[in-house]
Amino acid sequence: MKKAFAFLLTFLCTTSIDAQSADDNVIISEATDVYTFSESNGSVIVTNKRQERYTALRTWENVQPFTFYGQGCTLDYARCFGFSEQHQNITSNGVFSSDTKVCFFDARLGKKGDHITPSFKRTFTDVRFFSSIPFHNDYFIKDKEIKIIIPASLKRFSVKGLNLPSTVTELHEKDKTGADIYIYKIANMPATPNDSNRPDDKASIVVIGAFSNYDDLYAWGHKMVDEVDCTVADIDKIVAEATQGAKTDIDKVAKTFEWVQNNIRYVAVENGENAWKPDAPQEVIRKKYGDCKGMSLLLRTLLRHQGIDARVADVSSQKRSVKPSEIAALCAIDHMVCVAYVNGKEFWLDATNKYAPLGFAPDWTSNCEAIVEDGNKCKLVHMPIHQPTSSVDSLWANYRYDPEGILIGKLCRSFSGDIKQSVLSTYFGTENQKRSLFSARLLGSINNDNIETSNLVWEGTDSHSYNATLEANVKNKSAVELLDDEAYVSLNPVGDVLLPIIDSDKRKSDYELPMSASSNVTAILAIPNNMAVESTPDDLTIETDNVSLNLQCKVSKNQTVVFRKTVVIKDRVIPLDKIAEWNATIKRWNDACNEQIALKKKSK
Amino acid sequence: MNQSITKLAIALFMATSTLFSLGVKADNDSDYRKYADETRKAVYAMSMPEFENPQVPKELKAESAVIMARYQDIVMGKQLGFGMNFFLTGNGIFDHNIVATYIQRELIYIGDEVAQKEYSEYEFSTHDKNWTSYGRDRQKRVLGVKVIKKSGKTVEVPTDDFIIETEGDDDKKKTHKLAVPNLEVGDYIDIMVHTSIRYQNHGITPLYFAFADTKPMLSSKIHCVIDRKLATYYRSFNGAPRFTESTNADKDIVLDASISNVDKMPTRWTRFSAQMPYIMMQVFNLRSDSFVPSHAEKGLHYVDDYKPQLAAAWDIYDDYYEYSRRFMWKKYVRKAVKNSKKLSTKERVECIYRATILTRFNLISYNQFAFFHYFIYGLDKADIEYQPFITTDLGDEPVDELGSHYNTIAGVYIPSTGDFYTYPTSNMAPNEVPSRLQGRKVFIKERRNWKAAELPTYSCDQNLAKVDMQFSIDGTQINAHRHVELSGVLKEYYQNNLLTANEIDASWRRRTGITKTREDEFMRSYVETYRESVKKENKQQNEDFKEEVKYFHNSDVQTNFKSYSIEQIGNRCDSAAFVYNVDYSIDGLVKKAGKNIIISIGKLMDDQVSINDTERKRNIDVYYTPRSFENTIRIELPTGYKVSNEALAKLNTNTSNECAEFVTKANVEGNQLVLTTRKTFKNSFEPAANWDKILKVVDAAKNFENVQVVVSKK
Repeated sequence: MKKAFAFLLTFLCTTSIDAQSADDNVIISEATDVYTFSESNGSVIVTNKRQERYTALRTWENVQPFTFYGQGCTLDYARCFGFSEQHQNITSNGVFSSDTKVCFFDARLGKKGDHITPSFKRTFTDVRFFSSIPFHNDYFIKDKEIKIIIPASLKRFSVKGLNLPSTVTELHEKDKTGADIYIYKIANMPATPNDSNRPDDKASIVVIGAFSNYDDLYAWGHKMVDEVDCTVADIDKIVAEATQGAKTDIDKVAKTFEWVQNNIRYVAVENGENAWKPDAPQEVIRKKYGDCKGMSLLLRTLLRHQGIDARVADVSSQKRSVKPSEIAALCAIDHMVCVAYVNGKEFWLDATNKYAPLGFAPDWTSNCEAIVEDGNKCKLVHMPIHQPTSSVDSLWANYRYDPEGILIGKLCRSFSGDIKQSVLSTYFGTENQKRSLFSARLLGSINNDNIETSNLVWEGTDSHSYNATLEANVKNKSAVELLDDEAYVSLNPVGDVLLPIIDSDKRKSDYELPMSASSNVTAILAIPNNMAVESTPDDLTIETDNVSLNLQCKVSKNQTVVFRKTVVIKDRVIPLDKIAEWNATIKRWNDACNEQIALKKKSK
Repeated sequence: MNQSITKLAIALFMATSTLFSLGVKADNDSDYRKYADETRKAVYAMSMPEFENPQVPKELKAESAVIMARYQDIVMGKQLGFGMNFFLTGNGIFDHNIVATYIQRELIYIGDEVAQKEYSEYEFSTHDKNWTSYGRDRQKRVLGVKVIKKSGKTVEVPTDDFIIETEGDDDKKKTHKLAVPNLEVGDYIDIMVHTSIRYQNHGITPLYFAFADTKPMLSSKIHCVIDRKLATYYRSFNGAPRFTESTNADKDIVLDASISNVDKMPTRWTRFSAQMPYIMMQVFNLRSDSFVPSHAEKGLHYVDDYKPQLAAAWDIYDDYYEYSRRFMWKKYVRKAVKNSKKLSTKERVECIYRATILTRFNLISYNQFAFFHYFIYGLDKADIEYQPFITTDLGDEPVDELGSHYNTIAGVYIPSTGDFYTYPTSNMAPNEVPSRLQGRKVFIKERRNWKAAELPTYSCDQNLAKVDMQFSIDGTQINAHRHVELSGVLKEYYQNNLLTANEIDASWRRRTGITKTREDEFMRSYVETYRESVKKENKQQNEDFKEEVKYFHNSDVQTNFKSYSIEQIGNRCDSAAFVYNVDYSIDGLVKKAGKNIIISIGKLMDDQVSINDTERKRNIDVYYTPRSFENTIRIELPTGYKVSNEALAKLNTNTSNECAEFVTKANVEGNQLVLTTRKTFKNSFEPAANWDKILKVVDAAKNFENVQVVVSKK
């Protein structure tokens, strides 16, 4: 995945409108953050001076004022009276190595009322890497001013606030020299909450003008792609191995895609120009690892060698707060994929998704903008839309009831799409000898003498199968309770992982569900002739903004009970004020699904 | 005079040059690269047939990783250096250093993606400097990696694949990172780490050579060459071989050992110090400033007698006593002695012990030595007879098999009460023995002699977790009140995690008779700070109890925390149980079943250990703590509901043998269904032959988690 240095600078703030809370011991009582554009030796540079005053309101506390720098951004000074600056490398999640560094102070506010005033000065030596401005928000900000000064000679640049919270006021004025002054005044902005499953923040100040439009943005990135030597020794041999058995061009695309998914691990090394320039295909093959850029360029190379129209595309995923069609800036792009065109059809090839078959559209790039090569130019398109029904967790069970109080039958659970990716990543992230235990758990079996699973078989644990399927034979005593001439049966073998109960105690932000997906369970129970169904769970349908839930339990004339439940996630984000309602809904749903089927022996 | 100055200047210059010799100075990048390339070449050129043409045995192919071969090589020599200490401590113009080179090489079979990930990424600093009390140690490190493909082809990772990251002031600190290219499942990886260290003016802490691992190991070899002028002592444990001892042409000591085809060791209920074959080796630099036992002599020595090590351990404690006389903070101890005059000996000792603990808040440096001496200072003042003792904890060798003085721990024995007192590592009552010291052998100092004895081991009834739970049903939700009493070593973890420092401090003060609170002792300007820290602790305690509730039951159980209270801290001899209450609700355990309800009663117990497939066969003995868990579960039956005898009968189970037991009993008392469960592990040691008996009980308890009870409408 491309990791723009600019991304690290984009530290976004919350949309909460809470004021300073009783928990706040340290606040940023005042701060200034000034960005000044200028020209130096024909290049546009931006100098940044930031100064913040940390104040302890009640008692001592350790604080760590910091700033990032690295490629395209030098640190000119860092000062904090009484404390020494420290410098460390830092990498974001999923990146093995990069040039990004952090300069920080291990500072201490010794008692109530103490304050420190660290200051930093940086220079963005390449304005392209200055694409957005962070709202630094580990602490409550009482009063802060962000100022961007753009001289008249550089009037092609401007800034724009996106999704700004109510605690930020935006102003724009000109000074005597005609320079544009953009001012963002922050008053009483709460600290970013530390809640789990918090949706990505989308508030930011974006810098406009480094690129004229997305064509320009594309051209800059593509120049680096063009510089890469795409010669691959033994390419014929590799292609032959990859496409063995392929009959059509679509087969070739599928098999080449699969070959890259299976043979190239994801490791992101983003030092120097590698942050933006793909690794050479030959190197990716030699190392058997690469990042999204390296994998995409390798795919393009292998497919073009087979005469297939393949291109690389810069992607603006759902994590980005700005799209390239709105603002052409490096912060709008965070991923690269390959696109193949065969017989008028488009095939999006994201090899970082190790278990995705050809044609699957993952949720995180659903309907996102992508800039695709188009001869000497580019075109802006939208990526395929992900449907919850393409990421499905499906469980099918076929039981017969044994009079000793056992359900005997076969279970089959299949996973597709994003769920398949998640499950198989966990499966292959488990040691060999523990995989059968993991598999048994997927079918509801825990270390339990009352549940025997046998003939556990996986199929489709690869990238080309649409579904990964797990089957087993089961003897389940735990699912049945006997009492006198009655039996109570549970046909709900596994919980709904898509429907968590959310801990809302002290939560301050919305909750984002793990994925946009759906699940369904069909359990069939054949009842012996000497028994009758006394009661079944009531049918239940619940529709909310976030989820559709449907439960049905029917008894057919041939003494078969069919238990069906379906869950479809419609919207992943649950607003904070709706969490209590969500929890109540899920509790109601769980109670309904857990209701037992009551069987009774027929009187003779 | 001028000649003298010239001579001194020359000496200084030469000494300075020596300081920066022998390859442990910082290099520029190209020097380091040259050094690294040469080092890798030299190490990989060493003749080691066990690293050639690897073939993992068929029966091990399903393992995540297999250690095909391990090689450890140590070369140690003396070095004379120019002494910084001359300026700092005046201990002489020269430093007596040890320079050592360590080579660790391993050949690993990559059996699955987990091992591929584990062995494919590396990060290390090429140069390190560490300050010690004696000067500055320096290290230089080289990593080498080769991949042997399934086809047999060997590929050495080129130096260019190492990524250099810089950080620190002026980017002086260098870190190397390596993502190993072309490593796939089924391959072998040959990793080599070469480390050069200069130890400035001190000896080396014990080195350990293990002859087993948690992965299967097919071959392990050790080779050491040590300067004969150093004092080298070693001892073998748990069936490890002794070194084959020889000398080389320079009359240096040469040590070799090897082992092959070692099964992997389980991690559960294993005591590595008692079960893993290993050699402990310690090297002393006789002329350095660090502690050297009086018995140490240059050359090689096998340690087959604990007595000199014991004497050396005592020398350290005794020496420290002299130093500790200079400490001024004894007021708590003096107060405790004064306030406890009318108490029994046992209570008085407890008072003095607590006062010693309170002293730690006032000392900048507080460790077991300081504790030991403050404690005996108080006992002396109170005229209570005591005898010091020396022991080791269960992570180290027993005291009667000491390989070195290094791992010893001191304590105090009170003959009149028969109690043992050790450095407080937990919040137990003063005369309670922490888990890590239970059953350990000790030597008690009786005047000039040492008398052997043993620290107590608490029985399974003393290490008791007694839990009383009261449940009421509200629709499909259960409201829970849980009362917990933890005794013996079972309370250690929970005391450490659930109590605040303030609560503990306050309890010590009450017991010691010190009327001033901690807040009283702060300067006025810091009182507010103190109060804030108390608030912070209390908030954290709330979160800690939330976690306790979350993890008490099986992970499938959905709990909603409400409140907690602490009844008893458990750090007093007369009330040693840690007692607390928690209130919460539970969802998902009550299900409608026609007109009846079904309760997953088994899940109301505490979470049960689960032994999975990979652990069910075991051929090494079992070490664990004897312990008991008693649950009393009372469920208030909803009005109009009953539990039939048939349903009750299923809740009565009994799995017992000489190793362990799991017994459950249920009955109805009024409108309550009462279920009692008791799980006991009876002994601290079980031979491997009893593993199946232990499994039977563990499985019975785990299975019971899935038991349900039908509560039927009347």
